[in-house]
Amino acid sequence: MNYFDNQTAILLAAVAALILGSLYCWQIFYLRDKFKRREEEIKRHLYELTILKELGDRVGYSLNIPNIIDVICGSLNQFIKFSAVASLVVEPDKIVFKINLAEPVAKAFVAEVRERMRQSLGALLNKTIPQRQIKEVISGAVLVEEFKEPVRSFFNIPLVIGDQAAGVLTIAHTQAGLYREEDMTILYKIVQQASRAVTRLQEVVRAEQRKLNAMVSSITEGIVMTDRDYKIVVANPAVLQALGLTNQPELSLFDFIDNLEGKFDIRGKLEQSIRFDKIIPEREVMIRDKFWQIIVAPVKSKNDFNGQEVLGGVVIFHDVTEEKKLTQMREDFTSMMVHELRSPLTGIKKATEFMQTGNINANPQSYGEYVKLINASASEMLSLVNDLLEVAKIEAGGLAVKREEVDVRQLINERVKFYRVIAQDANINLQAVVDDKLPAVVKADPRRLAQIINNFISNGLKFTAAGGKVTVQAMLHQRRQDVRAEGKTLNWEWFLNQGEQSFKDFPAALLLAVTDTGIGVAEAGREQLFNKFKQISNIAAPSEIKGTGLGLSIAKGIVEAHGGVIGVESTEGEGSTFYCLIPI
Amino acid sequence: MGSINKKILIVEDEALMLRSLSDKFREEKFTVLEANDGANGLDSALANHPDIILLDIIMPKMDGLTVLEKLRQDEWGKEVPVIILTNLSDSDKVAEAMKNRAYDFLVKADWKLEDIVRKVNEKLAKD
Repeated sequence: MNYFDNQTAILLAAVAALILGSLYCWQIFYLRDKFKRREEEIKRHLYELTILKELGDRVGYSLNIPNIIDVICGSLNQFIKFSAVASLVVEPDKIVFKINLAEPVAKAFVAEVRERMRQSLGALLNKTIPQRQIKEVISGAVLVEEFKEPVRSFFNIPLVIGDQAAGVLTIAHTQAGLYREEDMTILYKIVQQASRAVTRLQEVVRAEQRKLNAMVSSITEGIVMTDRDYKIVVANPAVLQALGLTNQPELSLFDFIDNLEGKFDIRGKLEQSIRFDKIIPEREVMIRDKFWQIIVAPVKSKNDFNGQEVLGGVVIFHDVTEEKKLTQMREDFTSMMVHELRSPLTGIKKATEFMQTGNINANPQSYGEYVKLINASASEMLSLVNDLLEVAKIEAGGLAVKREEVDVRQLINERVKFYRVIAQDANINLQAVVDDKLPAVVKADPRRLAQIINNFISNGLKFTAAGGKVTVQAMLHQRRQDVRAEGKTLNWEWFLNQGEQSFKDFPAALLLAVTDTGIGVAEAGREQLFNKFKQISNIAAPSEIKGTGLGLSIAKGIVEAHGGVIGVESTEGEGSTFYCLIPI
Repeated sequence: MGSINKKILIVEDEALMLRSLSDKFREEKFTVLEANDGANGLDSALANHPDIILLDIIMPKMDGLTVLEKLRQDEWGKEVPVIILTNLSDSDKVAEAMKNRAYDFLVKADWKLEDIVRKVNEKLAKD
């Protein structure tokens, strides 16, 4: 028993030792393996970091995806074995297949890689990619037909920018079972990292672009930008409007050339501007009934390493029609004033000349007539100068209104009496009608009120033919009453009924009007009538009646200084009513 | 003077200018016709067939250039000598008038009444 026990004990001990020993051994192996794996992991991690840093350095803030992929492919050989690394990238107008061979392979190998990539990109984009759309670039080792090795190891990494598949990156080898999951994971991570960076950068750029686009669209100047090949890059709504291109779905420079109707050589100017790197301004080009100032300038990028790179050209259309009109009006106004002043002056000069040299002194009657005429001319000029000063005063906001109690009835009667002689000479019936409800006195500036009535009556007489009628009208307008109805109650004949204005919201006011049976005022010209630059037509082609047109703009100034409104309603060929409402 | 019984039409809207010119030419023994706007001037010209016309440019009712154009369309009027009276600022209009064969133009402020008379006599002597 003892013996057996001893033997058994020894045996047991040996077994135990054996077990322990092998356990220990196993443990050592296990640990070594573990360390080895850890080491590899660290190496991979290090590599990952290195390549990402390298990528970051080389790619910089680039948005150039093919370039980024080239950088990735170029650094892969540092950690992974392959026969070929390839990329298939979607570019705006084509799809580029690039393959770099690390060792000689057969043509069929390349074709197979290419076909596999075409399939997977097609799956990513959810569409079939036609072979002919793919442009092929092969680099690295030579193609050798004798090597009949097919693709045995292979993996694809999709390249996604934003939400959009941008391409596929592929590693392929002629040996089988070469790629482990870790390798794929690293590559996957790298690609993902790169695409995330690009996505972020793109988002920033897009946000800037959106701002820029919004700005360009809201600019009232017409803007069109082309690249160096004169392809339209930007065309804002203003330029499309200006050139009548709003309904054109796709624009080329030819559309612009067509619609510029030969008035402006857009192609030539762009070429000149880009080639000589200079800004070309063009003053006052008339296109489609409008005047444009056109500026052509090169568009340059300043970020490029080798100084400046010309990206294209921009053409800016600035509408100067209104400015030109205003300048024209000013010039016309000035020449009219010059004429109005020079005419009587030359008259006076000629008259005095005649009086000096002629035998006028022998004829006292003729002498008297000359003196009278000279006096009239001088008065005419004086009143014109006064008018000009008045307008200047109104424009400077310095028209003083001295409100006092005015008997409007008396004022109107005086004015009518004053003009009656002229009216009778012209065979025009001049009358006045005053509403009974109008108070005996209202608060206004009597001298200014008289000026308005004078102006209205003299205009009415000027523009009414013999046998016609000019009526001065005055009433009390009540708030919330329609002025047209008020006129109807009084049985007035006037043109305010033709108008759209009711003045219901206007406070209680003295309404003064002068209605004539004259030639009337065309609707288009009504607003302009109260502008000091009106009557331009008189100078361009002297019409029926001459006048400086200052009177109405002065009347407007007076009425507005009283807090009132002035206007005209008319039917062409039948007559007009000039009116004003002065709050009382 | 050869101007006796010569008929002159003066078309001018400025009263003093018209009066001075008329009186001056009357002194020079012209038969003077007056018109104070373009429309009257044209009517008078076509009705009275003056030997010469003095024509202002900027006038109411019808401007001088229109008067000249209409005169040139008339059988008699296409040959009548016309002297344009003008202000300095009308240079472009003068060019237009010369196209319609105005004989000459005088800047009102520059010419004395005698000069105008001399110019008229010169023209009439040529014919």
